[in-house]
Amino acid sequence: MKIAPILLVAVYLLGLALWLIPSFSNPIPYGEGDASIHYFLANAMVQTDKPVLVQPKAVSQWEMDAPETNPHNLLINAPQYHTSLALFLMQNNFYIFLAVMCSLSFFTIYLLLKNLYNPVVGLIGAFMVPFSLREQLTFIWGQWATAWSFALVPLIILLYFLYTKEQKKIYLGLLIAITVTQFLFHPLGVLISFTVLLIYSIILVCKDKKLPFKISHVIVGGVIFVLALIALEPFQLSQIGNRLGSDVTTPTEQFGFSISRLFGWYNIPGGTHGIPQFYFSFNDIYYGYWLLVPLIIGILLLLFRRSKEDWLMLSTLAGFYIITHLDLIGIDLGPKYPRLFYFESLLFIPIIAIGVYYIVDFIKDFKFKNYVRYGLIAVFGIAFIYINAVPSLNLFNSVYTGVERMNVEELTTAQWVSNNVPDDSYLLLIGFPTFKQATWFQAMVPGKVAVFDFNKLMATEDKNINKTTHFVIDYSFLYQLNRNDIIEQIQQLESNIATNSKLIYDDNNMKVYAK
Amino acid sequence: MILLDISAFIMGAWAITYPLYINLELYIEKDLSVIVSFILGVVFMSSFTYYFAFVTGSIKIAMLCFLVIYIVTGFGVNYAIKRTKRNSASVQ
Repeated sequence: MKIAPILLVAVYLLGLALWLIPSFSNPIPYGEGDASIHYFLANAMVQTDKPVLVQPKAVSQWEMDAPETNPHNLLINAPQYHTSLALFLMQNNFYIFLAVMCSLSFFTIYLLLKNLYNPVVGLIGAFMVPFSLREQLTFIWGQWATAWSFALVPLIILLYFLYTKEQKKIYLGLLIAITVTQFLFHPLGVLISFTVLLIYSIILVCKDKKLPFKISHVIVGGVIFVLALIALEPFQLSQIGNRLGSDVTTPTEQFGFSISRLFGWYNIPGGTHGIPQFYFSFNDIYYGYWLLVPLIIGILLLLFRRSKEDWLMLSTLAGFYIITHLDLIGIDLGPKYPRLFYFESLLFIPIIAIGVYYIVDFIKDFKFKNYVRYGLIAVFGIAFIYINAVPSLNLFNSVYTGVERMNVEELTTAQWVSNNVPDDSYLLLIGFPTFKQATWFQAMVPGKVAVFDFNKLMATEDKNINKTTHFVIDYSFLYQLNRNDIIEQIQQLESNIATNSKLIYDDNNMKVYAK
Repeated sequence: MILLDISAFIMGAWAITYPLYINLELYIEKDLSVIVSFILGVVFMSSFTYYFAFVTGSIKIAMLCFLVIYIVTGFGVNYAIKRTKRNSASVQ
C-alpha cells in the first residue's frame, strides 16, 4: 500500500502544525511549572555555553532541591534531556523539537499496528494521536520528559515482539538501546514497558511451553542495559533510588484491597497530585463516551481471537491495569502515580483502531465486506474529526493567551536583566500577576535568582527575601487589566524603594531598581 | 522566520538521523529504521555533547565535533558494510 506513507506524513504535518500554533502565533515560551524549570535548565546551558552539572541557585524556586535525595544539588534529570533541549533552544526551534518528540507516539503507534496487523490499522491509530487531548495537554503543560518516555512504549513492545518471533539479535540490541533511552527521558515509562514485556513473556511461555528468549541474550542484554545507564547518567542513578524511596509513602487506610478499586479505573487513592480532575474522566478527555464503543469492540476482538499479536495488545492493557492498581496490594507510588495516566490514551488508541478496522469481522464473510469495512473507517474518521479534532483547533488557538503567559514587556525586561544585571543577583519581583509570569521570568534569567511567592504580587515569605539586590516592578499586565487599585499600591511601594535604590531600567511599564 | 526555523530543524534532524539510518536499514525495515535512528540520534548527540563539553568548555564546539564525527562514522561504517557484502557476494 504505497499511499500509506504519504497519508501518514500528511496527517503528521497537519497535527504538528496544529500543535505549533501557540508558539508560531506568539514566540514567547509557555507552559506550567514543569515547562519553565526545563526551559530554565536548558537556558542555563545556552546562556553560559557550558553543561550544567550542579544546578543553578535559582532552581530552588521550583522547590526541586531536596537535600536528602540530592545532597550535592546535581542535575536531577539525565543530562541528555536538558542538553537536547538546550541544543534545539540554541537553534531557535525549541518548540518544534518538543512537538516532534512529544508526538513520537504518532509513529511508534503506527509502526506497532502496521507490524502487528496492517498499515490501515496503523494509519487509523496514528491519525488519532495528534488530536488526542491527553497527548496535547501533556505537551502544552510541559510534561515533555514523560511524553517522550511513554511514546517509546509501543516501539519497545514491538521490538520485543519482533525479537521473540525470530530471536534476531538486532531487535534485542535496539530494544536495549531504546529502553535505555526511555530510562534517560523518564524512568516511569520503563516501569510500564517492563511490566508489559513480563506479562507477554509469561503468556508466551504458557502458550508455546518454551521460553520466548534465549537466557544468554537476556543476561548479556541486562548487563549492557545497566552499564549503559551507568555510563550515560552516572550522577543521576543514585538520586533516582533516593527519590523513589522518599516518594513511596507508608500505606495508609486509603491503600489496600477494595472492590471499588478492583473494578475501578480512575478512582485513584491519594489524590491527583496537582493534575486537574477532568484529566481522570473518560467523558472529558475523549470528548464524550463515543470512543468507548470501538474500545470495547477492540478488547472483545482481542479476547476472541487471541493471536500472538492480540496477546501483546492485551498484555499492554493488563500491564497498565496492574501498574495503576498497585494500591490494591498496599503499594503507593507517591506523587508520580497519577502521571501514569499520561499513557492511557497511547494504550486505548491502538485498541480503538483495531476495533474500528476489524468490527466487520464479527459478521461472517459476505460479498461487500471490504466496502463496509472502509465505509465504517470513513464514518469513524469523519466523526473523529468533527467530535475530537475540531475542539483541538480551538484549544491550540486559545491556550496560554493573556495573563496565562509572559508578555512582550516582561520578556524584553528579562532579556535586558540577563545582559545587564550581574549574575548571582537576587531580583525581588513586584506586580507579576501570577506564578507563571514569575517562573518564566526566572527561566529567562538563569544566572540570577528571582524572589517571589506563589501567585502573590510581592514576595513576603520567599527564603531569599533578605538577599534582594534588585527590584523588578511590573505594571504591564496591571495596566492591561485596568487594575488601578493595585497599581496605586505598587506605586507607593515603588516610591519607598526609590528612596534607597537607583532606577536602572524603565521601559514599557517595567522598571528595575538596583539597591 | 518560521520557515527558516523549520528548515534548520529539518537539517538538524537529518544530521542526527541519516548516518545511523543508512546502516540500520540494511538490517531492518526502513520505516522502523527512520524512527529508531532519530530517537537514538537525539540521545547520541545530547550524550556526546554534554560530556564532551566538559573537555572543550563549550557546548557549541562539542556539538559540532559530534556532528562531524557522527556523520563521518555513519558514512564510513556504511561504506565498510557494503564493501564487505560486495566482497562476500563476489567470493560466492
